[in-house]
This record gives sequence, structure tokens and C-alpha cells, in this order.
Amino acid sequence: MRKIIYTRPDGGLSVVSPVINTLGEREDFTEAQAEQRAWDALPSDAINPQFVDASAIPADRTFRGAWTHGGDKVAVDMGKAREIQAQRLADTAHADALAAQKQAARDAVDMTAINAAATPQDLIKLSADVVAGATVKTGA
Amino acid sequence: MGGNGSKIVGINAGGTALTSVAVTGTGSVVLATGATLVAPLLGTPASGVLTNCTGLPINTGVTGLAAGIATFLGAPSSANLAAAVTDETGTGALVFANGNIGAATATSVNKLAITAPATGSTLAVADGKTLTASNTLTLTGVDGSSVNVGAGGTVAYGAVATQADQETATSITAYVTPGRQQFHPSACKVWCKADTAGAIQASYNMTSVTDNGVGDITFTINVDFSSADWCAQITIIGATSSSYANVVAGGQAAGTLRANCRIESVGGLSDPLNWFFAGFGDQ
Repeated sequence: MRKIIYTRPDGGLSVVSPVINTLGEREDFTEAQAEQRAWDALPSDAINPQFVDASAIPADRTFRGAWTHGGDKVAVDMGKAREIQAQRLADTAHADALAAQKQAARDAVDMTAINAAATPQDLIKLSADVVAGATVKTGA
Repeated sequence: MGGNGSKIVGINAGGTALTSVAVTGTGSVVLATGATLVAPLLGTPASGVLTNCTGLPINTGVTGLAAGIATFLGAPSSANLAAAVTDETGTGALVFANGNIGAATATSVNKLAITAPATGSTLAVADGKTLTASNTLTLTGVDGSSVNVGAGGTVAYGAVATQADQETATSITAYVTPGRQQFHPSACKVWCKADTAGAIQASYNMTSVTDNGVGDITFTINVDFSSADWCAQITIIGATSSSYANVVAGGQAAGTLRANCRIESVGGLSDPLNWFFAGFGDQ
């Protein structure tokens, strides 16, 4: 069955999949009728709606946010794709850096006081100063 | 008065002279009243009244009868009657009131069709009872179809439940049909399972699914709710264990629902593996 693509007012591309319901549908309901029903239900602010073959929709959704109306197919806005990839790499680098920072902080913990704690209450009383290897405070 | 065998002597009509008259037959002279004739050959009388005559043989003595009538009168059997009648229908023996019609082969009686049973069937109405079908009573073609009412029992029902009956949901007499059961407040009005890109694997009362982007989907309902105030259920199979789905603020209308899928740890949109959507409310 064909799909419908249109541009939203916010600039994004929507891809509509018409439905022949698996239950509760008339037996003689056709794909053409399903397509028309979906077409009739398009939002009033849909821009340039158009039927396209299902094969015109990319299976790879890596740059879904960069999809744009390409007439009878879905095109990829390379400017948006670059931004997406740059942000993705930045997120990965940030995550890597955050992980490294967390590991360094973990390595800096002086285990002496922690190991000396005999009860859960003793562990709770330990302050964050332990992370820096400073004087361990065990509370009152 | 005398004769010689071929003529007799008599008085003429005026009674004034003797005359001779030709004769036929033998025996005594016949006078007009009270005479007894023995084996007379009457020829063709001009007229006569046979009130007191007997012994007329029906087969040979009566003319003008249709074919088979004389035979039936001589031997009045059902077969002979059927042979004598020209517009009969059916076969077998003649039936009278209170009789046994035997094995009927008729297939219709006053537009009531009765199919000849292959082995045996019974349509019985007990004495004094009534079987009435003012409109339609149909039990067709499916073995096991039956209407059995026990002793003293009754079959009574009200009208088919309307959409209003269903929505009011209080009647205990109206019966529900498949085309209206979904109007009951407890019934699910729409549901579907869709994949990442919005392709539907199973659904009811849906028109379409719209892929708006990563983790952003719109469900479009076929028969809409009566307003935007209905209960939407949205959930997912997430790509990560921290994925979750939510209805987009302002994304609910009478005929549509827009939802997002996000990853809890970072808050960004994310495609789920599957979307699950259902809706309850008034249509």
C-alpha cells in the first residue's frame, strides 16, 4: 500500500501509513479505499501532501530528523544531517568524557574509612570528603 | 273382430265401420293403460318418463359420459376417480376429513415450503397449541441449529440495543449486536500495535499512523470520539530499558493522538521497537 508524505508547518516531514484494520474492517474494504480514508483524514495544515510508493521511504532512520519532501520520494537535507551527526558525535564524546571523569573520581576514593565502617549507619555517615582523600569524618 | 297373422280387424277411428290394421309381434293385443309388454323393441320413443324403470346398465345404457366416468361409476376406486378427473394433482388414495394423508410429497402448502426429508423429520403442533411466525422464523443449513425451550419456559426478548442503549448501559432486556457492542462505556473503541516506522501489525478502528520523526507518532482514528475528552493508553517496547512513552501536550483530539517516546536518562526522543495504543470513551 502507498504512503502519504507531507511537510508540517514546523518544517518536519510526516509519513502517513494508511491502515486496513486487521479486525472490524469490512471484508470488501480495499487498499484504494484505505488510502483515500487516510488522505481524507490528513491534518488541514499539511503542506504538499502526496502519495508515494512505500519503497520511497528510507528504511535507515539514522537521519530521520533530516528527512524532507522530495516530491515523489523522501530526500535527506544534508545540512540537517550534518547537524545531527555533529550533535551525535558531541553527545558520544561528552558521554565518554563523563564516564572517564566518573571513573577518575571513583579511583580517587580512599577506601580506608569505607573499609573501616562496620555498619550501614557508619557508611551513611561518611562524607564526600572521602572522594578527595581528605580527612574522613565519621560523624558524631 | 279377427286376424290372419299380419293384420287384425278393428273399428275405424270414427267408430262407424270395420277396418283391418297391420300388426307386429305376437301375443295379446295391447291397450293403452296397464298393459305388460314382453321383450318389446321400442325403437326410439319420442318421449317418456322412466321413473319406475330399473336395470339400466351404466356402461352401455348411458351415452354422453366423459372418459373414465362410466368406469368409475362401475368401480368407484381412487385410481378410477383420478383417471376420470382431468385436472387433479398428486397421486394415491382419496383423502377425507379426519383421514391420514400418509406420506405427503408436497413441497409447498400455501407458500409454506416443506422440503422432503431424506430420512425423517417432524413438524408437530400439539392439540390446542399454536405455532405462529408473523415475520421470519429461520433455521437454515447448519447442523445443530436449534431452539429448545423447556417445560414452562419462554423465549422473550426486547428490541436490539441502540447506540443510546449501549451508552446508557442500564438495559437488561435489549440484546447487543456485534455492530453496536463497542458503544458500551466499558468497550475499547480503538487499538493498534505499530512498529518503529508506523507500520501496523494489528489494529481496530484505525485510519492511519503517521511517523512525524524520531520517537514522534500520530494515531488517526477511523470513527472518532465525540470530543477530545477520552482516555488514551500509550505504551511501548523501548529500544532501551529506560525508554518511555507519553502523550504530547496538546496532542489529543477527537480523532487523533500524538505521542512521543523518550529515553529517560537523556530525555531525548527515541524510536521504540513497537508502539501500543488504545482508547476508551464516548463515540
